[in-house]
Amino acid sequence: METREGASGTSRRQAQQAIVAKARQQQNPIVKYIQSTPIDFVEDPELKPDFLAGPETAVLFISLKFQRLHQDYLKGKVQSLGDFRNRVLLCKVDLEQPEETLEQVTLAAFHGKVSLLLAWSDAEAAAYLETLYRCQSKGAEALKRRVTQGDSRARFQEVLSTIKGINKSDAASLASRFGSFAQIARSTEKEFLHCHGIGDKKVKQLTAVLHKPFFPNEQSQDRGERGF
Amino acid sequence: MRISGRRPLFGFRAILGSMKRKAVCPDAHSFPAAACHGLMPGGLVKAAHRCSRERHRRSRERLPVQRSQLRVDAATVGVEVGGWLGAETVQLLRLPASNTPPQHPAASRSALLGSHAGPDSWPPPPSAPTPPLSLSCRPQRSSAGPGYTFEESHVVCGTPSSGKGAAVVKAQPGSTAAGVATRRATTDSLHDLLREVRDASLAELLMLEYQQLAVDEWLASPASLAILGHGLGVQKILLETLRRVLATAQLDPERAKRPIIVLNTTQEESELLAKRASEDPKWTGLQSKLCVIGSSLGVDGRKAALAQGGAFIVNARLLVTDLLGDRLRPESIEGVFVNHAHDVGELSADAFVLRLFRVGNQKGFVRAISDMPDRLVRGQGQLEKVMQRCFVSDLEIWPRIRKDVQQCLRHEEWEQDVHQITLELPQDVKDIQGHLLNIMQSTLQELQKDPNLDLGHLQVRDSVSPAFEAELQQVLDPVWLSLGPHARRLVSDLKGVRRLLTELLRSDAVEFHRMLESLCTSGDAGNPGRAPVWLQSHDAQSCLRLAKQRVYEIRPSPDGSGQVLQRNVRPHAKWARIVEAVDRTLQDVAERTEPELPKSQKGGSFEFGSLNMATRISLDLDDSDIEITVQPVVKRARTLPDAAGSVVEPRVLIIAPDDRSRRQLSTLLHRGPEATLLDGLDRYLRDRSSRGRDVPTGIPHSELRFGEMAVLAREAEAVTQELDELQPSSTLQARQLPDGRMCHPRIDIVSAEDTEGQLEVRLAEMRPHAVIVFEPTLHAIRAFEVYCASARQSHGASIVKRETGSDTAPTQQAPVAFHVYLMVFEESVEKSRFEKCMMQESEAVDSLIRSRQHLTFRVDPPTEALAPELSSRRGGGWRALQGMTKPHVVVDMREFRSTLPFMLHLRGLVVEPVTIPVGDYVLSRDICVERKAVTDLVQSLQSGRLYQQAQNLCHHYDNPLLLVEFDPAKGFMLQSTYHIQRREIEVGTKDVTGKLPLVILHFPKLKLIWSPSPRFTADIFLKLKEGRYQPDSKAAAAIDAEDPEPDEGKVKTVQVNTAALEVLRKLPGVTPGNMHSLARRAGTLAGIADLPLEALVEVMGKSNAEQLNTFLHSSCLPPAPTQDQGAEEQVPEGEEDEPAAAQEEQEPIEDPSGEEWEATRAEEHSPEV
Repeated sequence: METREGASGTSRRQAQQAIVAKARQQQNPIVKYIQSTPIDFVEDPELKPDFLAGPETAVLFISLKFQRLHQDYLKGKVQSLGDFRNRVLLCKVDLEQPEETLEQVTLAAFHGKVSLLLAWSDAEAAAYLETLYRCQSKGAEALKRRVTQGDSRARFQEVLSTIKGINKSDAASLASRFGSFAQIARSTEKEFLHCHGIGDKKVKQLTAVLHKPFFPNEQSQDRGERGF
Repeated sequence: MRISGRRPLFGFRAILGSMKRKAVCPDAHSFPAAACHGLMPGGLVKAAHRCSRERHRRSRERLPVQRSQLRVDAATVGVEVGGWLGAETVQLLRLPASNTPPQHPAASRSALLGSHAGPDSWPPPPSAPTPPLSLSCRPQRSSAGPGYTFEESHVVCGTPSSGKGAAVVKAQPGSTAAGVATRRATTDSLHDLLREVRDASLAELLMLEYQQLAVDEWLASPASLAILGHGLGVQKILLETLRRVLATAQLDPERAKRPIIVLNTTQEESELLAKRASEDPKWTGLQSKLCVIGSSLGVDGRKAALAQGGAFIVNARLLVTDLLGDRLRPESIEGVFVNHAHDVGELSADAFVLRLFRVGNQKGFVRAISDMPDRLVRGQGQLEKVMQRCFVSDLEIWPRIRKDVQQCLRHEEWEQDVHQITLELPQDVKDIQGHLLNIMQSTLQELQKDPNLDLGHLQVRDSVSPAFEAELQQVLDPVWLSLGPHARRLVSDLKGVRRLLTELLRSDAVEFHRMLESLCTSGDAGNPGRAPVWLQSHDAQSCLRLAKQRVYEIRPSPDGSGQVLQRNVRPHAKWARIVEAVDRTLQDVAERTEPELPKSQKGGSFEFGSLNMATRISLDLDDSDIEITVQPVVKRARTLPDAAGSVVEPRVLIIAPDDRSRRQLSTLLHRGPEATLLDGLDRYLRDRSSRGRDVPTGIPHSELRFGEMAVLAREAEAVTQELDELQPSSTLQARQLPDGRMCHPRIDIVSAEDTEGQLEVRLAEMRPHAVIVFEPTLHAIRAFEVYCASARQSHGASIVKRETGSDTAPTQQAPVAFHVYLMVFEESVEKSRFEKCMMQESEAVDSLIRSRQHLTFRVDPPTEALAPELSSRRGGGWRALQGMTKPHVVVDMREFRSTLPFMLHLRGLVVEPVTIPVGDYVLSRDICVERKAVTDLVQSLQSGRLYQQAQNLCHHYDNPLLLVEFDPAKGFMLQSTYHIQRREIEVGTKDVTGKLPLVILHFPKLKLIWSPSPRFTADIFLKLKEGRYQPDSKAAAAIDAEDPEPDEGKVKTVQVNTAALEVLRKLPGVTPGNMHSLARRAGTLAGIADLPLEALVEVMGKSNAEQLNTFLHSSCLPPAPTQDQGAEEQVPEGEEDEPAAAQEEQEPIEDPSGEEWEATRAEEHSPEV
């Protein structure tokens, strides 16, 4: 970890406790909107991004006005950003006619493999930065579809229709055919084929989901445990 | 403002008056639509045939037509035929000859064949001697000099209603008999024509002269836009034009195969159009050629249908994909009709179709039509923009004030039958209206204070116009995101007050009170911010007080013990008048029909005597769910000797402003005003007394005082009882007239908001004796005018019929009296709304006429767009290559709802419509884009859909992109500034600002593009494609198919079986915390089902484990056969008639893949299959 480009190990470690910012970002107006998250300013020549919102999240900041004046700045910054899992370009839109400049920024971000986030005010930019920091180890649960609560049949349908290619009516026909989830899990391809509306493709899909191991690369280890 | 209540009269006369005052516009709008009149001695039809045969021969052999030669014939024939037709007159039209497109010779031979004779200048001065007649036929137009001559004409022969006869036009003194031509080239058929004239004379109302003219004029140019005034019968004109074009095309086997497209028509309207066509005798033989194509037909079905030719009312989105996918070639399209031209958006699918059509086909026609002149002047240069989009260069305007229209809709004859019932607004209503207007004023003023907002010209007096909301929206959209919650609340308040204002005049006191209350208390439950801002104002208080007083008052009872409720509620002021008008009509009809009956029956007039008396008469209440059947007590009627004379059926049509009042009116007619009122009151009181406790305090006058609730409840009882005792006083009941005949009233109620054209259809179908208009609406009133005029005309036609049928002398039959009752409140919002509508229309027409005069632009035929040069520094070889392969984009079929595909096309990209399972646009082999409009983004972030899509994208493409698309009209901003400032200190992931970073963190590969406009997007797409491979549509479409078994190469890289984990996540009892350990323990999903409960408990704790276990093994069969189910036991849930299977199932738990077991199971099940 220490040897990776973009930030020194110290900075990366530090980024677990607080947002790490380059010292010169103190003048950045968005900083004063960061109120609910600690922020450390460091003089670190190795630190390439403007902010570190977590050890693996590098954030560059640019405003469209600045981009219009210094067109080459961004390209250089993106190229030397270094090695991070998440590379984010936070761009503040402060032009009335943003199209032309925004296009440059968008292309630079795309070619530099950086995710672009637009903010229209300092407060919004700060909010993004804080959220990035806060969510660095958060799971994707908030993004996923919430599981509906309901009686077991509704639940059953919901679960089965998660499988690609299986729609609600397939789920219903599977349910009436096999009765319970456990039965379905134990059934074989041939039996699935007896079900109304289930063809080769869906059977393949079903067996792939039901009988392929969760972690194919750890098969050996799995087997050991399954002896239980 | 020029028109503001100083108009003395109101209604028809007022319209007429205002139109007259405005006079005929400076432009040459009094187009010489001349009509002349001739007498035709019977039996000399052969001459006409001879003449037309001669013409055909010449045109077939391409012989020059000697004008002089034909002139004689034409004159003779004209005189002869004209005379024979008697009152039929022939309409001569002038067409700009130079504008007429050259016709296919083969087609013209047999096409709508026209010849007619006309004088050289038109209309002829009354005193001038008869000008020489000239005649030529269509293909040989060469003799026509530059400019307009009168060489050409359509042949309009028959009654317009039959479409095969001659046009019927009033004779004008001073004009001479001129000519007639046969429409049918195959000449056996003038007799047929005339017979059809007879048969069809009453089948449908005739087309009016101006409608004919409009059709002709519209047909004259291959690319023109026709704008009609409100309610002047667009549908009729559209249908007739379509029919003529279709009929012409049918004559040529080659052209008959070419589809004619009708764009921009909603599902309901296209059904209505199809219905009208199918019921119209003119369409005989062509009905099968008019198709409505919906998405249900499928790609192949559509292709097959289009290949057959005919007219197609089709959704542009479907057509675009056909055109792009090369299933339909633009060259093969005969032409395009654009309905509702004002609606064609800049980047809409309709505009896309038109462009594709125009690029590939320079010859086909485009004919656009609109009846919303006011929509075409809203905004800068709207008219030009629309014309550009439709690629039309000619403009025809048919406002109500145009001379031709004026003449047709003259109503001296029937104007005396218009009863304008002007009602005084009751004092309390007037007061409430005043208060509401004050509220509106203050709300607007308050809104104007917002620094971000420039309401500009919007005034309180504008707020009555129906277009107000659209205008307000136009002002608000660009700044909406910078508005604070206060301003937003004000905007929603405005909507609320506007609704109240309309409802005040439409519904009765109880309904209004209920509505006001619900509006005032709407926000109170937990969210005081949503109650209207004006609630605390003085006006609001008086309003609430008055509204309540209109319903009831609570007073101390006279004997001093407790309180009594005094009911104040009165029926709506218009109700009594409606009932009165209905009664009067019934009487009228009953009196009138008696002497007239035999005559009118002979004349094919409006009485029908074949009602089956034994059956129940079911009143068609306009497809509403209320269907009332009236039991006629009419056995006796049958026994009467003259069955035809024994029944009178007065027909009344009532026009309600909206669905709600339509329902109320139908109750009124079925049960009488008293019952309607009590019914409403009963419901209200019950509701209120039971709900009383929940109504939050703080709103004076809506809060129930102590003891009031009990009083209300008591009253509710009383009202219910009264209601029960009340004798229904239905106006609809069959009754017996004093002279022994039966009277079966038929009353239909339609809503003015119905699908366009519905009213016209209903009028023509029903031929009512009276029409009652509940609230003045421009559209409805125009529809009557048109109806009256055509009824008058068809009446004229019926004379002809009798003449030809029997040799009796023509007797002047009085037209069936037709009364219009127009209800209007004096000094009310509804009146000023109506005036506003009229004013807007006339202003719009003015400005359209002016811009027509100055119409200078030219509509250039579009050329195929080429992708812009990206860089000049490329070598020549590259450029040549670029020329050969235009950049491609694969676009998902479903994406044609958006404007982006069109923009891409305009920027020179080749758009390939394919159904692709992952992503929306595939730019190259490694770039795939998922497009999300902002609202869509918020929604799919919330629902989890985006997560799924992002996952798929990242899985299948190396460079997945998420395009966040902003609406250029709404400002380039994601969140309102206000919202950001007020964002909670705690950073959450509930809103977009919270969720987007999460997406970025979880999908590092996914890049975002933020686009302020489709144009920006198209440019970015072009830049992104630079130097990359073109996308492979087959590969893109095939992605999903290969999904279950990914490529061999990919399998190795797959770290986890995501699909299985996804299912696992959904199982009950599985939490993010225990999910992974469970997965490791079980190995596969099927393995989990085999884990015993103890193992589950070990992994995930008792309660979770039990939950999961129950789910896994509980039955999901519909009848839920097993009840006894222990948590520990694994009781299989097979069907009860399968004990063997149940037995065996215990075993395979140890050996899930046992061959025998499998076999058994398969056998067990096979009989069922």
